[in-house]
Amino acid sequence: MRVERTNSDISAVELAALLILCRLARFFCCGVPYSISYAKNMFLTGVLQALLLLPVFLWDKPFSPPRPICIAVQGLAVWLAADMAADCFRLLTAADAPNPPLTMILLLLCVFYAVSLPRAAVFRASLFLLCAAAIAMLLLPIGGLHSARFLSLWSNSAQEHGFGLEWKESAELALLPFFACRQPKPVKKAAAVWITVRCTVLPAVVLFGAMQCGRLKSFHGNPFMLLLARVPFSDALRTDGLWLMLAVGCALLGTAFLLQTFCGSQPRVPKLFLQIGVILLPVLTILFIKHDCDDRLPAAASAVLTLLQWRIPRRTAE
Amino acid sequence: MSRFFALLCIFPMLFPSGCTDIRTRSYAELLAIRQGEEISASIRNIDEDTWISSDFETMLLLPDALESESGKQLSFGHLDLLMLQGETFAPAEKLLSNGLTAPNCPVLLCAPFENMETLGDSDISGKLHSAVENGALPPCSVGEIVGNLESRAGMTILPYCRDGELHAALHDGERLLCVLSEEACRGAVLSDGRSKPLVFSENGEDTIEIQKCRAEIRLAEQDGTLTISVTLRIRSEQSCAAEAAARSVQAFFEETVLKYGADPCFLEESARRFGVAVPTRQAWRTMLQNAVLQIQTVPLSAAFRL
Repeated sequence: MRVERTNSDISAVELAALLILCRLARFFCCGVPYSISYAKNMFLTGVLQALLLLPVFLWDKPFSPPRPICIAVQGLAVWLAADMAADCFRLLTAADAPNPPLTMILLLLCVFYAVSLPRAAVFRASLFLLCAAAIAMLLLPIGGLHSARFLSLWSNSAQEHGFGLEWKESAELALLPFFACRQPKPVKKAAAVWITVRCTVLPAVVLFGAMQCGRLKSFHGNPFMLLLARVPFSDALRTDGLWLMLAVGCALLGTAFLLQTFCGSQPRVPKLFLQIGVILLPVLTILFIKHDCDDRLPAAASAVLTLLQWRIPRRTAE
Repeated sequence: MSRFFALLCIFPMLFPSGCTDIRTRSYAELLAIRQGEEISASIRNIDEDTWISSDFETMLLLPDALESESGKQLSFGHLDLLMLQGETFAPAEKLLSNGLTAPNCPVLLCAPFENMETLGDSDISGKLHSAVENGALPPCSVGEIVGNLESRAGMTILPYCRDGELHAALHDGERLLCVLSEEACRGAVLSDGRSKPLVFSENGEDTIEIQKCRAEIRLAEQDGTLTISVTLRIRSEQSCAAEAAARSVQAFFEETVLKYGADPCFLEESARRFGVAVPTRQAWRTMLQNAVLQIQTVPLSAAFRL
């Protein structure tokens, strides 16, 4: 017999995908230069965070958390969403995208529209985006293997490099116990997947970046953009459009996920606002294309929105 | 409603690929920066034959000054070559830090009397590219230069143009130290490792071809004396190739490491890898100047040939 999931149900894969997407968005926006110390610290913080999540792994019985905790978690979620949007703005500025403030308005409209949709739509879109990110990440080492320099790993860098920042960048983890209270089993799996990716893939990308950037250890722009500039798929800093779209897409969905956590299982976004958003979004997109703006970003927004529209499940009574 | 909205979402996707960007922005192909009492810069855009020049007081004003001169928004992300004239590398560092140029953009230092615009028009960028491809000059980009200058030894090797000819020069970020000999340039290329064939002749004698070369550097310290052991794994049909390669690498180390205490081939990182302490800048330079150099050549094994 097929069991219908309710709107608030989260599967392990979907939650893991969203958590990884949030981390990826922050990873793309992060300004810490890549070095072996950063990779080590990233791995170390991943292990420490896994230890801190032990109660989540040990807890089996679902229960409703007390109201003050719910309010605190909602506050944290909205703060993290604002922080991620600010990171996205910084990325747009660093990538020399024209008119970042106006672009942010467009992206925020997309975010609010995504928030208004059922959670399952955001989850599904995040899975697609994560698959795209995984393929893109696989292409990186293939493209840049010949220009990697193994000796660069021994370049001079401070031992504590990026350690503190890694805690801030993984702040979404603090939401896990909240989800674990209601659905312990999928959250356990999601946490396990998140820790595995966090302790293997991201440090590996940092190590690869450290091998690519040679002795450039102080801040010379967004390190991920510097890494992209070194691999042959993007021969200049400004032609990494697909990566920028991916980064913006990750930030957009991550922010939507965090805001949905804030709104609860049934988002109460005013209908009028939604209608305004729905009308304004394409108008703004066309205006952007006509007026010297970078159309990669509206394209990113439209790609995410198209993913969100794909087979939206009906809201079911909880 | 949702289908209508989905269609509207797909509509702008028909216009990705940054076509509006390309229409409205100008893409600089060559950028020449002169440093004196005032900084002046000239650019030649892609698909344009004319140069646009402007003077300004600090590097921060470079994009605005050139944009107001050209009347268009400029992008330096597709630069083919960054030409510098003057003593310091501050302009290159500033361009990189401000995200104006890609780290893999090639750099050329020009002698004070060279006309950079004329050089640019004579396809110096193509000549530099082919010199690097042929192994006459070591590869060098703005990212590598800035990184080398930030390293403990604080010196870098970079292409240098004098009398319209391309050379490699050693620079410490404040002044030009020396121009490397042709043999030392070859040594620099071989020390870096090369997977493409390198064809050269010494003193007008027979042509030597090295099909492939891998270099391995080991460092050891005993009683404060550094020993640099370079192992060159060479694949060549000619028996004299190994000796020629060893002579080139010897010349390269003598002209850079042993004479000035430069570190052009990741010696600092090798030192850390092999557990040798790296002291302060001056002490490290002295240590390198007093180092003992050992070079050996071995044929590239069948495993490496694959």
